Amino acid sequence: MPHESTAEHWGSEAARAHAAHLGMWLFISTEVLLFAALFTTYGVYRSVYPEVWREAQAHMDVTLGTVNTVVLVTSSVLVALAVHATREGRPGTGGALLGLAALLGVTFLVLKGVEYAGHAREGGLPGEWYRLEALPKPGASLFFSLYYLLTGLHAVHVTLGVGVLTVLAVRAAAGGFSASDHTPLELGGMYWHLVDVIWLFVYPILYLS
Amino acid sequence: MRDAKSLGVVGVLGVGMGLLALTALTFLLHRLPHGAWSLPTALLIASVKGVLIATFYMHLRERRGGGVLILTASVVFVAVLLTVCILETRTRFAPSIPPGPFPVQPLPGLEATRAAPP
Repeated sequence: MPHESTAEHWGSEAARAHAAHLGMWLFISTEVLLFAALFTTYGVYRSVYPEVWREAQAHMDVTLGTVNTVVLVTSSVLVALAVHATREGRPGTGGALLGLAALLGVTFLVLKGVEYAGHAREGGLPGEWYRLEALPKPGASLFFSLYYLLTGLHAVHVTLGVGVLTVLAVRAAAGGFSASDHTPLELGGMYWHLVDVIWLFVYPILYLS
Repeated sequence: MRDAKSLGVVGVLGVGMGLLALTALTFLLHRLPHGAWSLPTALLIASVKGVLIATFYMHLRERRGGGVLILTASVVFVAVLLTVCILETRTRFAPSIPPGPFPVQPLPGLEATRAAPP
């Protein structure tokens, strides 16, 4: 339950929760702008090297990328179900669902690692380490540099998100949340959904177009 | 404590099924012969998925106001940044775009410490 003194400071628990959500949206907006810089870099270089980038994209593993998309979307559904269960007064169920979502996050990272290993084997490395003999053209190394930057930064966010979900799952299982007090769960869930939404844009620009 | 605007289990699962269906649609469209509209179509579907998640899973439906304003402002700024940068690149005088790639020049005094590529 929230401390009485804290609730008094905000006037009501609803006002406190509203302020917390507003703060989370401000944080999310900074994350959106962080990734916007990389998306813009992608757009600019794709304009300069359109043909080479199309050829470079043929070296992406679309199957693994699609499986990872399904994994992240499913984890988002589990997090939304966890928030719903806690709101309904079943924080134990919520904790279990959060644990499953965290496991899916780990699955995503493992599949990403498999994909990185495949690229490294064929020489699809960033910058001056680029050795992809099938595509020895100017611009292709830039594609792979941006590929590692975008997916690497996203993977860092997934790792942080797995940590957040794990902590929330343990707290929920220990009875740390209730139907009337679960704002941290909602905020942690919003972070995980943000990680999912960013991937929903990374997936088509790197794997499909 | 559930308010009138929060989703029930059926609603949460329904949105989830919609997200997975749109993911399948993106993948299937990719398998078809596609041209210049491939990327805009895929990004449009991604945007629909993003709106669904923000509205129903990130609680915008329940807490309108500040969150909607902040998210809308972010998206507008991203759109302006992308549009201006890509327009500038596409309308640039072609010879002003060098072919690349370019060798990375070490900073003065750091020539000896630069790692050799494998």
